[in-house]
Amino acid sequence: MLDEKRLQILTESAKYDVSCSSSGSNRKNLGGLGNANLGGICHSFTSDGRCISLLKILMSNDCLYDCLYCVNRRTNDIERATATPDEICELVMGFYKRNYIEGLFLSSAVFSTPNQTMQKLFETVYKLRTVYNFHGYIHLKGIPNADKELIDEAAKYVDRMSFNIELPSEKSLKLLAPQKDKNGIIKPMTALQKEKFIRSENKKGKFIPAGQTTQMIVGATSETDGIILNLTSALYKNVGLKRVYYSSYVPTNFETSLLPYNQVSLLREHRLYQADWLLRFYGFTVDELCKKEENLAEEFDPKCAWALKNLGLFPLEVNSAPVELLIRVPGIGLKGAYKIREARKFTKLTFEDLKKMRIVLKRARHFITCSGKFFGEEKEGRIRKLLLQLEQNDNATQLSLFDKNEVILSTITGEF
Amino acid sequence: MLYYKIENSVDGILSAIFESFLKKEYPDNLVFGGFEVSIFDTLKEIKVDEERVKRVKSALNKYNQFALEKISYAFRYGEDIKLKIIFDFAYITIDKKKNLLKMFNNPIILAFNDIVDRISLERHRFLGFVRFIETDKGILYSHISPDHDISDLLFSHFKNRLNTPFIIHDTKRDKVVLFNGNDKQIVYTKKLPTLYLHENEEYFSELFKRYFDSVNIKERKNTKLQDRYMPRRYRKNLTEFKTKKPL
Ligand code: SF4
Repeated sequence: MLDEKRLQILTESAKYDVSCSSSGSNRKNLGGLGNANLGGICHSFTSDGRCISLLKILMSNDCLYDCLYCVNRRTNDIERATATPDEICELVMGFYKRNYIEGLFLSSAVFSTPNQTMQKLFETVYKLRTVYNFHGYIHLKGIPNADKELIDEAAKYVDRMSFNIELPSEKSLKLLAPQKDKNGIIKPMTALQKEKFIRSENKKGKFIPAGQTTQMIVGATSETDGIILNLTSALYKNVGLKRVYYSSYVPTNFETSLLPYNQVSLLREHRLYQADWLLRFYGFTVDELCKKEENLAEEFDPKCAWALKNLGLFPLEVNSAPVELLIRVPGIGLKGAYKIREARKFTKLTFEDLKKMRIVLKRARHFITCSGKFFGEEKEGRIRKLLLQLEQNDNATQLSLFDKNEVILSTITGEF
Repeated sequence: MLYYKIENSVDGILSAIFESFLKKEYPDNLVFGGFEVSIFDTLKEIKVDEERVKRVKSALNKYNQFALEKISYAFRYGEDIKLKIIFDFAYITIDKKKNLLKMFNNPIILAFNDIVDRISLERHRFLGFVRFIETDKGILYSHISPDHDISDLLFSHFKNRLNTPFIIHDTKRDKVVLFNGNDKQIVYTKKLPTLYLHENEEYFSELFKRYFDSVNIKERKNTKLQDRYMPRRYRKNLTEFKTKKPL
């Protein structure tokens, strides 16, 4: 049985992996313990405001590699620990039964060769499914440069797999993670995607039903948001990723001048998530939001920034504008646009109606008309100033990953 | 003001609907139990009448096939204001002779959808916020005190998932929902069970508290966000918010 001390070591070093989502799979309980809920479920929230959905743990933190940004790097003087497959399985079963968690997110430092490390991870998920009869959610981290056969074999037993890109360019990777290379990360992702496609064509059983995700560290190196978002968008389009996570660099290494000494602003990470959200659900392209050599505006959220650059497209008439355009109005989200579309079938909507429907109008009013009436400001400078004030007020209160309207939704879908 | 004093049930509300249409009057509020009104107000007692209930139900069904299902769901709301909200919704559906659920700018619909949404949000939250204790007999026991009457809505989720006997005890309503290995039972009781813990219980609960602390990133403290996602009133029953033993 795993003792508290090792649990602490192995979970503390796993926490920088931000993904904790348990959504995207509807695995059934085949007579053992557990199933997966398509929308995902949050079981608790830590005081950093993040959701606990999965037991996030490393098999081992005893790494042979020396990635400079990572707490587990060889040259860092920290306590090391390793767990056995059975210890992890017992822990998952005990936690799951008590409804502490939705499943397991298993990852590991490279404590041996990539293949031997991957083999141990495989053993754990294989045992969990076949010996312990566990049918809850499993997210498994792949080890770069492990054999394809081994990775595919493991993928058969899990709901989601991920390889972390970590740094958004090959140059940075070379500099800060000398034992890793782009190919060792991108190649298995592409291969898994292909394998998933072939298997689903041939109906050969479950194979990572919740797809793949990845994570990038933001602010440790010099890449712009434009570069990061272009990479993100390529990963969604070409590799079929379900989700890209961004993690503001938290300093864990003060011995090198290659890394920033201070914590990177959370605002930047926040803006990237907002932009990512717009790419996935709002039909925006990267070019609309951010040029390659630029960063996202800090003072406005990306949708506001876009709207201010495109004032000529506004105002939109809420009683007739198509939904694809309504969702581009600052302050109107997917849910708001849906409510407008349905409600306008009954009556012509007025500004008062929108208020009653709890559409947040403090931003939107500058970009819409209601039955021809306009309630916003005419002058660009004035709009800019008002929006700026709103943004500052909101940021002062809190920095959430989502718009206010989307918070409830995000709790429901278990994302974060 | 006109008050209808009804039986505190869906049928009570539906009987009031019949009365209101029959007398062409509209109550200002619906109340139940020993409610007293001032001398300026009128209190009208309305008994449940099965025939009338049936007629109101069939009218509702005609205009909106989901209305009754939604109404009994909305009745799970934890505050008495639900009586009037449900009444208004049922009335307007029959009066306007159509399904208005998506008329999002209508205050009656808004209020009704609102209580329905709050219940389903809470139900969803509790899929995560239930904590089981394992007893020496291997039975899983949990006590919760949700705002709304949702405990039995959690049943099928946990039955499918756990596949083993469990008890969910709503201590606010003295309501016990249990799975005996075959089917569902709902019992109302004020008695708290005496539980003997499984020998592993403390090991796992201490480990989970440890986990809860160690996944937190201190540098990113944001308790406002935590409070929004997980309101403080829910925490008293949660393992991870109880003091842990020193290592
Ligand atoms: S291989 Fe992974 S665990 Fe090891 S140092 Fe690099 S990032 Fe950290």
